[in-house]
Amino acid sequence: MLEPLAEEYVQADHDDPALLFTAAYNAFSGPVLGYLKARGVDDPEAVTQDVFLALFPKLDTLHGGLQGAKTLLFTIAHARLVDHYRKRERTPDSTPYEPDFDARRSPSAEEQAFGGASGLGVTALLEDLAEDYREVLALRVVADLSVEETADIMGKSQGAVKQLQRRALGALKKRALLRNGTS
Amino acid sequence: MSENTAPRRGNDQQVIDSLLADAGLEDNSGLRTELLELRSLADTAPVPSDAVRALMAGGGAAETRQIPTAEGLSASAAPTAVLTVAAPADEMAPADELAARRRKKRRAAIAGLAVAVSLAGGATAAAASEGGIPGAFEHLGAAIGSVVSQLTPGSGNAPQPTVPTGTTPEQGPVRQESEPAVVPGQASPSPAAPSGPAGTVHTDPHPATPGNQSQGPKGPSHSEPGKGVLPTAPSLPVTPPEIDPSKLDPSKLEPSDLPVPVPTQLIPTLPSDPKAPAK
Repeated sequence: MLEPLAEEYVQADHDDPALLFTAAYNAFSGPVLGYLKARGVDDPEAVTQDVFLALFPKLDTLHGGLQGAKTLLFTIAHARLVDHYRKRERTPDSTPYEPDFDARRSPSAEEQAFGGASGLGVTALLEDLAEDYREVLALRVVADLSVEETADIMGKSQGAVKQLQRRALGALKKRALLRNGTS
Repeated sequence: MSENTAPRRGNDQQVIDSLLADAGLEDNSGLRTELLELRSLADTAPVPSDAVRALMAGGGAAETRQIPTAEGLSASAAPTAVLTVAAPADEMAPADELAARRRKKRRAAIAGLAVAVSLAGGATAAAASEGGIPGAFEHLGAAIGSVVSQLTPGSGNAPQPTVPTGTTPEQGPVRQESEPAVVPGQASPSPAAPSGPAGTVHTDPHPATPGNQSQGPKGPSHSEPGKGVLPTAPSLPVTPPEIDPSKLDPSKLEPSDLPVPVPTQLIPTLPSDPKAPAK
């Protein structure tokens, strides 16, 4: 589905990369940040800034306007994500113990209410899913990419992406049933 | 980092419904709610950092612009306040770290490939050369030895000025001074009288060679420079040069006038018949 073009970019000269960059940031910084959060990147805000900084030098050779910028943005974000996971595999986990971040504690009712409302506990939905399931749900639901764009970024065919999406939703439904049954 | 809340996309529910319909889960309200929560992650837009802000379009100073998006205009009239700062883009043009990292990896791969190809070429040349790989090692050792001997002063093969055949290079003073002191058995030879009587032929530290016979008493010459610093004593001949042992005829030899040693002590002989009485 095509994102409606930002007004400042429609009314301005299309050859100005600064205008295109501004419009791309205003339109897609939120989805990029949400995509990185859903995939569990350690510092999603900083990585979001890096993604946009990597986008700017490529704007001169970019085709497709704002929609092309969106596809390129998530391609860069996907590459950064892969780099992040590779780096995490190589370096040992040396995070000191923080009681506030201990996942074994039970959240209070206040935390559940405000956390669910602000979306902070949403990433836990995807935690136990397979890697491909998490990726296809993050790209299709959070980043709001089409099946074609998702297939391009993941390097799969459109049929494979549809199949992955169907299986990922089925797994998510199973998890929801299991959680509701035990809680 | 503080964040701005972007306008919520109006067709969220339609998108989720279409996703669930594709998977055959239209009537699952619990899953629909979870997917809507997951989609709400994209509603929070981060505040641009200084580097990003410098690349954005705008005036010369920081300003806060009201940027109504097309979706915001269609769905709700509330615009989004986005801080934009304009600065020369050339000042803080960021380097693409990802591309640089990949270029670095590509460069390392190309360098490794070049080294591997050169090694393979060298091994092929060694195998194809005369004598195979051991012969190549021998050639390599000989070449290294010659280079080291050429570069190291004072070794046996020190570079010498090329002289024409038949001439003798001038000897250094050190060699001339050390010449008479090391000849054993020579009775105080003097450099002023190099040619002595006939008896001193064998004690001449430098036997005459065909190449330097015509040079006169100029000084010793060495065919190999650097190896003749200490002259060696010549070996004495066993037979005089006038007598050739192979040409002597034993029948023509006469008894020598030299006295033959005669035993001076009488040796008793044993009797031939031990039973016979002794006389």
